[in-house]
Amino acid sequence: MSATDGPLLEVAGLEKTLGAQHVLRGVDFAVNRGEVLAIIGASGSGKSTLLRCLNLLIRPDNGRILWQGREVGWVQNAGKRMPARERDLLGYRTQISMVFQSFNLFPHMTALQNVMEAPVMVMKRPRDEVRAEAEALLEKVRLSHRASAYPHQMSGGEQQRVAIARALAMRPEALLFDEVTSALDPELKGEVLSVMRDLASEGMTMVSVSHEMGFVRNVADRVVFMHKGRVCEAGDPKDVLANPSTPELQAFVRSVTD
Amino acid sequence: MDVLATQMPRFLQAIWLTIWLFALIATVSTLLGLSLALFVNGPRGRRALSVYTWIFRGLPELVVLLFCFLALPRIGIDLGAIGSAFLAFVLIGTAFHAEIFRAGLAAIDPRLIETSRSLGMGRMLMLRRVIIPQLARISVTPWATFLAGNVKMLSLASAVSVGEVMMVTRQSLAISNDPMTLILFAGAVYAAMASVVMVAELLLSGLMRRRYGPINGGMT
Ligand SMILES: Nc1ncnc2c1ncn2[C@@H]1O[C@H](COP(=O)(O)OP(=O)(O)OP(=O)(O)O)[C@@H](O)[C@H]1O
Ligand SMILES: [Mg+2]
Repeated sequence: MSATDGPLLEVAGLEKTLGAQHVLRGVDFAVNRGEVLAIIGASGSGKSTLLRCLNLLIRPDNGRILWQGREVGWVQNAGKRMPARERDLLGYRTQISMVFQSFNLFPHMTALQNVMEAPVMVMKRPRDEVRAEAEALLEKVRLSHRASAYPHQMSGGEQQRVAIARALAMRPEALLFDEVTSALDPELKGEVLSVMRDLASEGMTMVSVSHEMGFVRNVADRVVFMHKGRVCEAGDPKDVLANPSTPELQAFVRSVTD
Repeated sequence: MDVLATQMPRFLQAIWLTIWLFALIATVSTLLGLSLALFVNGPRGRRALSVYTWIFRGLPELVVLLFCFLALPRIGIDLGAIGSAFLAFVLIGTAFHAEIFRAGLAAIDPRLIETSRSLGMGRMLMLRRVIIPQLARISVTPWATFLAGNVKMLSLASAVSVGEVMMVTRQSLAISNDPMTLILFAGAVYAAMASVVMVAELLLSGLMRRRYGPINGGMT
């Protein structure tokens, strides 16, 4: 199979134990290029853990992650399957970059510096070229006027849009979003969601943990419902959310629509 | 007053010595303490570091000083007066700075570390671009507080005949009948030097707070 056919990202049998908790108990799904996949599920069902595994911020105990058809996170060494070294994962992480619930901008850098940081320092691209691109990205998230502001001077919605621009600045193949609007006031959620909608319509591959049912229903191509560390149900969000077949998802849908 | 005037050249020399000795000790112990806090990893290294900082934060400064000046020569290490004072205060200062920076590192928001990793940063890059700047922000106040206290501690070096301000003061006292002036003068000199550090800290932490906002960017 060539790198361009088949799913961009595929996970199979992913398992992770944190402390005494068996958090992921065998997760399987695939994401195609250009697809928007929403992950929903109750608190504690392992959504954040799954996302962290996807870009190998934490290493799954078991299972496989295939990126463009190739396994990441493990190397064959003298016929044995060995965990890859941290520094061999760095390049992969820049291709699948993450946006966090709490924005996590670097407090000692302006919006523009935050966006330029990884391309200049990690990817070693020329500063002038990166600056032009970073300014364009800030414009895309409608924050050109805030380029020289520090994070503490910005609203949560602004910070989160800078964080999205920062993730995009690495020219990633896919973006991971972990409840990126749940720390925001209702009126600020909209500006972030609209940026995400723009990205989706441009064909960006996105995996988004979200409690925004409007986003899940209208923007996601597919939804995965996690329950107790497993994929409990998956499919087209309109069908799945309207006619949940498992009692777990029925209960979840009821709890988020109330 | 006369004695102060006649002794002024010696005082000026002593002030100069005190300033550069302090600057040297502060620089070396800060860098050593920072390196220990950053690079000593693993349970055994950590435990060894704890034992070291426990000893040198606990011992009276004078004991360490006398040990370096009087005891070390017995085992063939004769550093002289200034050398002994330098070693003693660096040993003590490094212990405090290692603890100050260790506490600072623990206070860095782990989400910033995770974010750095998610941006593909390796350890050294993260250290340079994220950890050290955050540490500067968090640790500047405890660091400067220790240093300001450290200025006064240097007066102990007179006990091992380092010609710093206290030394000259004591010698002048012996030939003077105006202890009030001399002692107030010496006090003013130490207070002034400590004040420079305190004011610098106020300005620096104020600047960082205004520019970068609360520690850790006020993340919630
Ligand atoms: N470092 C850890 N050590 C031990 N247990 C952990 C750790 N991190 C997470 N857990 C546990 O793993 C479970 C899944 O956590 P996770 O954060 O993935 O859930 P989630 O689905 O993202 O929940 P939420 O919707 O609240 O964000 C939780 O029960 C949590 O307590
Ligand atoms: Mg979560």
